[in-house]
Amino acid sequence: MTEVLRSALQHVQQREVERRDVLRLLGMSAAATAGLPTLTQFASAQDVALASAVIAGKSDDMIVHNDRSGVMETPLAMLREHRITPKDILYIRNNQILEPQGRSTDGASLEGWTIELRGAVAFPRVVDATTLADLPQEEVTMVLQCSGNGRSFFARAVQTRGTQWQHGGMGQVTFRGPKLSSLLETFDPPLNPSGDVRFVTAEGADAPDEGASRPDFEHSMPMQDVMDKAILAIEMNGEPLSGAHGGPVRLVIPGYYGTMNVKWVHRLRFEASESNNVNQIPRYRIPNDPIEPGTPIDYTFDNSTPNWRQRIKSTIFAPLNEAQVSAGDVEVHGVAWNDGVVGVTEVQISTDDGQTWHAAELEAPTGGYGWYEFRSTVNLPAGEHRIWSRAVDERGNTQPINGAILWNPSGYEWNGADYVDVVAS
Amino acid sequence: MMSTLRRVLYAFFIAALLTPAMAQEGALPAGPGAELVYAKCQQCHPLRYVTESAGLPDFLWADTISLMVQLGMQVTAEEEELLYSYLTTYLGMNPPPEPAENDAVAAVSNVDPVQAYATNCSACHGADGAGQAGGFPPIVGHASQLAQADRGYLVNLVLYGVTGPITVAGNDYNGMMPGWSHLSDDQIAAILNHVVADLDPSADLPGGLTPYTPEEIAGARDAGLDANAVYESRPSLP
Repeated sequence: MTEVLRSALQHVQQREVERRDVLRLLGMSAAATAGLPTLTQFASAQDVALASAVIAGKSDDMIVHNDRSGVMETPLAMLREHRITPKDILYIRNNQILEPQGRSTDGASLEGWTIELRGAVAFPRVVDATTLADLPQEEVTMVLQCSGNGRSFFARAVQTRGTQWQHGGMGQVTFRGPKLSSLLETFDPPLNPSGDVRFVTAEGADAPDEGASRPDFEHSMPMQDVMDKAILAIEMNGEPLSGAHGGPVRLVIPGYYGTMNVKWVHRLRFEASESNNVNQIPRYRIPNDPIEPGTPIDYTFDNSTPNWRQRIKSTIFAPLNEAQVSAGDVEVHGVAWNDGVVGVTEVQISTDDGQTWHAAELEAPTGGYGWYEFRSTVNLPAGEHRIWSRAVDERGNTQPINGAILWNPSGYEWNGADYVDVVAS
Repeated sequence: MMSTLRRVLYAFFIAALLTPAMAQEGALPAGPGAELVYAKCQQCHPLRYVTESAGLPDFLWADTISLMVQLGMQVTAEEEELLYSYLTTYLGMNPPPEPAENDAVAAVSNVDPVQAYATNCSACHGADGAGQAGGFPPIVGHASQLAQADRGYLVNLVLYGVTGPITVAGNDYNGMMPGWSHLSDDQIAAILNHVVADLDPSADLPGGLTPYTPEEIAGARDAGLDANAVYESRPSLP
């Protein structure tokens, strides 16, 4: 136990992990050292497994939300250490998991994988996924973000339902693969969707748990965006796409929330309407018009929008929340992004709760779907301070100071202005 | 197909469901239905999904329960009702203040000792009080001996827990029992009376023993002992 304690304390010192993570480390390590848990170990055991036990290859410093299907987030202290988020610390959110490859960060094989294209089309096709590597490849560096990222902050108004993500349900990764439109161009005869097709619905090879009555997971996206942007990703960060992140093939739509980037994709349906699958409605939607926090809404296709294009957002990487800093000049560093349709033009910083703002230095990503890095210096006299950041884009979109004005029952698409509380001394 | 690793993990989670610690720190507020939440919700996700959702509006708890049923949660209509009632009361938008320890007597009346034992004690000591080899000593035939040797010992044992190797009827046990001070004085008194009567609700207390009273429990709460101190004070039995 001493060894475990010492290692946990080192974590505290080196990684600034939260207390509950230390408890988690203590509890699970204790249990892991014995063939059968003893009473003492029961007493200290927490109810969450370490990340590597849930998905092989994941860092045990990740915050595990659900150790069954695999839902885990990256502590900001780790996320900020890399321009491209490595696969061992990239967040994961699975509704369903494809066994066995979903349980490992190893690259998954394209051998034997097929993708079916059907729906309101003249000539349905089944594509051998190994041929994807022969097509012209598109590479995109982009923010991959769970639409629930930041959900826990809605509780400042009224608690919302779902995984209580903080900041780390996101990362910046580089996907590579052919554009879906390039694949379609190779078809002879052509797929030839009928004139009224407006949506593409993507299905993964994963399936609901035994005993569940809800339908298989799927998502619909506007066909125009899918044709313009979507790639069939077969690589991530220069390696064959990790099984844990949807390999061998993931439908990737830059600028869209993570949930729409369907993992283990094996079927695409070209249809006139959005799917009425529970994961398209009422899940994964937000109201078109603001609602009073704490009130229900009956979602219809007309009064709501799916978690498609990402809202503009910024996240402060340094200083971290509750950090002790030296009074005087303090460097503020972080990242901002939006849906990539237009550029982020400015990130503003405030140390007086939004009365005055000043622009940070901004470094744009290549491509437009990645992180804009911002840096600024603020002068903090001794005492407690709250440092705010908010991003602005070319359309004039920005982040609300009170993010709860966009409250919705399932807490999707949080994009309130970010802040950290620090003590200068 | 589940891998061996997953099987081991699942086995651990099932085992973890039985942990008495869960009824204590970082766990659910006590209230009718809490045990059902422990039992049902942790089958598919960690308890933190429940505790971290404290403050949800009622309609979202209702929605969540029906979502979980869709995802495969097996509950009767009565259980579904109880889950909703517990979650909206204790993890809803206006939870009752946590009772202070001294208010606990007033908070609970008419304790059903059979139910209280089943809920709080049976996971380790067995529904029949026979204990479990190696870890949990038997209650039947054992608790009454302790009470007759030192009636205050059992009170401290339940309030503060106990840790250290013991031998009961020739069998060795070396486990740790956490303290159960979150239970009310009424609950602890009722459980102790049930326990020293060898879990037979119709039996009289063994010779010479008078019933434990809530006041007696309340009086022991100021002792400030710990599990080691309780172990040191354990009476030696013949």
